Amino acid sequence: MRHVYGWSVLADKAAAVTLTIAITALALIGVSKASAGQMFTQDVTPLYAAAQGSGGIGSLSPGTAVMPSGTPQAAHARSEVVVEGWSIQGADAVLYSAVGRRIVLATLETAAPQETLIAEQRDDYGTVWRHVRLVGWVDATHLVPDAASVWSSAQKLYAARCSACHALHAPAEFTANQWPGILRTMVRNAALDPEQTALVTRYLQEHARAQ
Amino acid sequence: MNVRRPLSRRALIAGGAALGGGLLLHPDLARAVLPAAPGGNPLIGTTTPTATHWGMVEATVQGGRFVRAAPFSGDAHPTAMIEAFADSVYAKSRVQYPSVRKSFLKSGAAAGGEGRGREEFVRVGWDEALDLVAGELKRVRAAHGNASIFPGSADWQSAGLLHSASALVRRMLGLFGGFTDCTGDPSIAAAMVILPHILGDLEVYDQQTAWPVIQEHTELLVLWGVDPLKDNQIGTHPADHYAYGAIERFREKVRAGRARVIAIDPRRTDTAVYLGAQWVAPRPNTDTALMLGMAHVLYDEGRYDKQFIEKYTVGFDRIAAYLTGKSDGVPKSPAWAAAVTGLDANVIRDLARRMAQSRSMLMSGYAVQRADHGEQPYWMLVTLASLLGQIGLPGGGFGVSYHYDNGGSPTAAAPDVAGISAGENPVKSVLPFERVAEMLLHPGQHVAYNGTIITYPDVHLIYWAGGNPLTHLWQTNKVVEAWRRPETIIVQDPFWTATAKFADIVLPATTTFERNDIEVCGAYSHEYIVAMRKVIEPLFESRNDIDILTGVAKRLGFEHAFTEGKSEMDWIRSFYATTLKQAAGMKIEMPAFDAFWEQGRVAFPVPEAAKGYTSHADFRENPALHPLGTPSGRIELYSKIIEGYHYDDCPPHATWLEPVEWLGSARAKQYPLHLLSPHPRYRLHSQLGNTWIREWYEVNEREPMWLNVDDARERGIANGDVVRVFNERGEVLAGALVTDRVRRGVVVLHEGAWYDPEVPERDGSLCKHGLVNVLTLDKGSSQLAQANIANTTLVEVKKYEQALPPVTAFDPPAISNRRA
Repeated sequence: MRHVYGWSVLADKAAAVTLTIAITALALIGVSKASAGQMFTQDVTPLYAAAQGSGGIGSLSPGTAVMPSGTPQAAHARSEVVVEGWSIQGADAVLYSAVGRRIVLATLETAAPQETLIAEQRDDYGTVWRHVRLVGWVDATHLVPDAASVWSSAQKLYAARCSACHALHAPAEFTANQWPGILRTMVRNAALDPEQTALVTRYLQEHARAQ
Repeated sequence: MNVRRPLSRRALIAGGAALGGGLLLHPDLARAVLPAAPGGNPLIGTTTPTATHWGMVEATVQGGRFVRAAPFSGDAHPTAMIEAFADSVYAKSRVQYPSVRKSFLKSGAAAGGEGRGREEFVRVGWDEALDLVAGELKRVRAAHGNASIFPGSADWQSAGLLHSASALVRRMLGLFGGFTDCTGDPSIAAAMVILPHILGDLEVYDQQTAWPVIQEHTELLVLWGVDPLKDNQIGTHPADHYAYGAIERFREKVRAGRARVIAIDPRRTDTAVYLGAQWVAPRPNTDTALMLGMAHVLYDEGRYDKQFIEKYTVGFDRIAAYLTGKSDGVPKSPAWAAAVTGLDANVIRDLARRMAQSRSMLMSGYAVQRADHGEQPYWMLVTLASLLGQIGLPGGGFGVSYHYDNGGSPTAAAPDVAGISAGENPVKSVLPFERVAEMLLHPGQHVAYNGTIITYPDVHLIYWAGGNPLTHLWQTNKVVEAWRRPETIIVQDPFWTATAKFADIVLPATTTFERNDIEVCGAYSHEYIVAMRKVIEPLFESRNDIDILTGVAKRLGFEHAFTEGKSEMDWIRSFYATTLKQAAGMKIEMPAFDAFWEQGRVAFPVPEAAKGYTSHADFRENPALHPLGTPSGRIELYSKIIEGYHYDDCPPHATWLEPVEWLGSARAKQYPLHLLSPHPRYRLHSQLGNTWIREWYEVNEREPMWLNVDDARERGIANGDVVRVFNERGEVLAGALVTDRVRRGVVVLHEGAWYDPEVPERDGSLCKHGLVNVLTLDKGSSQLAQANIANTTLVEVKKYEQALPPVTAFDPPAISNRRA
């Protein structure tokens, strides 16, 4: 299991640390939110080790930014993508969006064949974060050119399922770190399947309060 | 123990007739037809499965009349309260037809709010009532905007995932362009804000370590301000009553000498008595100080778990400096804690040592956080549990929801049922539930809340469906003052609650038994999906909430968006269809809808793994892989986020802060008794108060008040006396229940007695019946949570020597026929 990072954090106006990471990312791989060719996963997206074969290495969360890195193949074929993010030392199966901001971009079951350690950083609490870039393959049908459509469908689902028992909570009521635990608790009343839960969680995290 | 001097049935009936006049129609007369007797014989009943907050029931109808509810046969521990359901449905306090306050009908909003709760009502037809409601909504929106409309309701009125009045009224108002909403939950308002900061999660709604794990591993059970036997009778979803069997089994373990129970509580609760607990009774609101004293012992004697602290928490050095007094010059020693709590220092040492020596489960409830600085006892509970180092171990750590919804009842492998959605609210202004009265009284005022600043909107119209804020909000006389300010108040309810009596337009809603619905039984266990089949036709002129709101939506031009073209049964089928889809994904077999509806319920098996669930076990196993949702990913004994808020009433680590009122304060000289207002044993808040069930507990027709034997003797009060309970915020009558089950200096008046002002014409009138919130203080716990502080109240009590005024809380108001 392992890691990842999404360019979606570049859209975030929040913490200075995010900005630092954004600048780092720009410098390192020369892409930005506006950069042509960037795509977003619209649902939980299996990640493969190669263009063909069943070699699954994990999955990307809905709304994760990826940069197709190879020549696009036929419509329904797999695309080679670059994904980048931060993992916590001792738990490299999960790739988060930024240091201290645990928006899951990817969960990995096995190490990606192409994985590069870019940097390491220690946070305010002594936790060591590893900045990682990896290359994998996804089915192109999972990718959309902008994140807005992903958030729009997540928002509709959230409003429909999470306003029955209580007033709908604004995404900005909790932080990106708090939302997954809150969803885990509340989801048992919402008839959301794991895929839908992942989508709603990511939506809430991306629109969460900074602190 | 209980003192019962109820009125005779005959007296009640006579009184009702005298007060209600000729306006109380028999339901059959209202319908103008006699219902057909099922099977031709009125004595042979039919039974229908349905469900309530009290659990699943079988409702029997004889001769067209709902006569009794029997518990579902699979419920081993049904609550006796279900016996009163039929009486509730036919209660004389039912709202029978749409009614409008007299001067409001004449002059509309120009009538002003002074007549609320005082004037008589006029009976109107449904069309006229709905035209009036729609007209007021349009008028207020045009004049003041959508943010001036406020639904407020949190709705415990009825179980059922379709007929949820609070969701439905929000759905309608959302389509109308939005409204000002509330956030949070009055039960746990402080916890909901502080716990995400320190544990990254709500925790209060989380599944608890399963009871079978407690049974197997827990050696020392600490009940800290919690009474699971009383509070698990009811549930947000129909209660499964699992806790009763679990506690019964745990008593066997206690009796076999394999476990001990300590109850830390100013009351000796039902659960404490049942389990034979050692009773430790600190002064109310001093829980944080007591826990600090215990933490001091653990630290001072080196009994705390250093590895746990290091691996799973942050900020311990700051707590340690506070415990020793290095940071503030005051060591939080057992002697210090003894002076604050009124306990013996040796008791405090002993508690700490025994908890450290045993596998200890610290079970707390919501009561300790419904207090001034209510954030602190929960933060300190987690801090103490961290020092003990048993969080994530089977049977150890802490739990805060064993009294709520049968927490710890293992979760079945089951799909969910999603109910009617309120949808999105285009208006984004929200405020904590607790601040309703302040909002109405001080529009435009800025208030700190959890790192943000809230501005109170200027509310001009209240539309409350399925709730009773005049009972549940704090400091009733202030609430009544606030309630006079809006231009228009619309209330939709089956009963003439205080809230309905203080409204302008009252719309009669059906009860649970008059409509079809669907539910999940067991909020934590999800053990059943249950059909709630209509038992009887709607009584009088009452309509389902959804139908009332459809009528409003039609007049406002969005009927179809509101109904989506679905009938009651269409909705229920659509919910079930979503459930079937989810079940298929989970490889769970379920009957088709018609078969489900016919058989009444579907049961789901509880996997063995669920019976072994231990809270926070994954975090303990690998905190890097399963981080908490805090900034550090660990338990935050010190919060840099809260530090950044700079709140003097919520410092960045668990801290003892004196409550605004407590037995150690100067105010206690004038008002020497600390008043607690726990949940009642024989009501759901104020629900069922309007039935004969009152005869089980009332004292001289008043809400009973627990009063310590010595406090009673000092005041010349005997068991069964009616007493006046008062402070500068108000006064109520209550029936003295003199007992050794409450600590000296503490009185207990359970919440939810129906409000009954003696002289409605006068503001601040005495409540003849014993509504505790007349006495409570409407103040926020701190700038962090702005939670209610119901349990921070001082009072004095005197024997009431005057003639007893009759209780009129359950009488409908005077209602005239316009043509009369």
